Amino acid sequence: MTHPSSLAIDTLAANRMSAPEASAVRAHIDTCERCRADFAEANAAVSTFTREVFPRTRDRLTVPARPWWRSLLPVLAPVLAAAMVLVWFVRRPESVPTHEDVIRTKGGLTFRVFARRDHTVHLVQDGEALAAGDQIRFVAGGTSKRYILVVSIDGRGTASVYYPYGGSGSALLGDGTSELPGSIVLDTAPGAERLFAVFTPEPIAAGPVLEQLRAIASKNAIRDTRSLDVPASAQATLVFDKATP
Amino acid sequence: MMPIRDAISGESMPDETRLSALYREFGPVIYARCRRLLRDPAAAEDATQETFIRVHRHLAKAEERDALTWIFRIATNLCLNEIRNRKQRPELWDVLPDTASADIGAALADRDQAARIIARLPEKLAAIAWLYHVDGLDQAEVARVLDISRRTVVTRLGELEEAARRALTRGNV
Repeated sequence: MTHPSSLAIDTLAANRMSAPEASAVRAHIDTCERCRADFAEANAAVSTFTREVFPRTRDRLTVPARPWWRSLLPVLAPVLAAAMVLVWFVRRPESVPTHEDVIRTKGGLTFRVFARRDHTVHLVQDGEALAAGDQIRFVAGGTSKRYILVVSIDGRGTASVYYPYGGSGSALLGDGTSELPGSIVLDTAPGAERLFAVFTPEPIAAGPVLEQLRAIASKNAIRDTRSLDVPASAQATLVFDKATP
Repeated sequence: MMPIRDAISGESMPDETRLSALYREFGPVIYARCRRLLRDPAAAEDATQETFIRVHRHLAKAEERDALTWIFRIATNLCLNEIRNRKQRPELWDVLPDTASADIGAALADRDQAARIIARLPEKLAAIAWLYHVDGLDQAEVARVLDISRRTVVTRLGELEEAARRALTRGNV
């Protein structure tokens, strides 16, 4: 037979092929080095999904009661983060973010913010209004080793390290996408608060970054400043307005 | 292959259970598919979840469909869109090799180069290009996966040859 398609190989690896067809494809694989390598790759992917991805992600794939379009968003927020073009695209530090940059979908380095209020969780969008008492968490990911520092400047001019919380420098971010430990409960400081996620190939100290943030606040430029002057391989930023409930 | 209603056995099944069943049943093959296209585990994971969200959203219209083929098409289109989006990111294309080849088949044999070529093709040709030249599906299989006629596949493969040849001979892929 000619080489089986990659669909056939993937289907066989996932054990979803009929017995006669599987037999024919296996017979080919036994004699074809290229297809054997393809099959090994597919097997590895299937194994990874079954062993790691499915157990970790199945709970995110939950569906609310109908009407689905009203309640789908909060319940499926982590999945929709991957699904919709609401993800911040991590841009190169020298680039000026356009609206398209901000909403571009995943790939490479990503950074997302989720807010929890009562029992509802949703993906935070740039410019959104949040409230004191809301809890925010971060999900970040990349395909290679990076350090990450998540910092904030609020309407009172207070600069904070949100991740690693209260830390003096950035923390190592592993391969893949993961939720960063800990959550931040927003205080009552009113007005705009801007977050920056700074990805660097080497660890950096938080001090100089916090100094920049305070300078931004002193110039009343929280809303307009979309990048920091740091040796970052990528940055992401988001501003939200905070109203006191 | 099995209709989707058999894969999830029963209309009375709650939505969450249906989605979970679909994810468990077809997740491995779709994840393998997404990894094959995207070459990035994190992106493949995202694409797999997005695929099942879309599957579930349109499940009511899909009861009679060949489940795996339908899901496979959704995943393929989603991944190809992601690949097309990547062309906006210059850092991904730093290592782009020059090519003087005008042989579309040979050019697409290399997956990385195929991704670059396909990112520059019109959307209607991208899925056909990948399925036919990279995945190795025959024309009938491409037609089935994309739910289009075989005649359309043949026509678009002709257009693809021309579009890819222009791109390759300009050396801009």
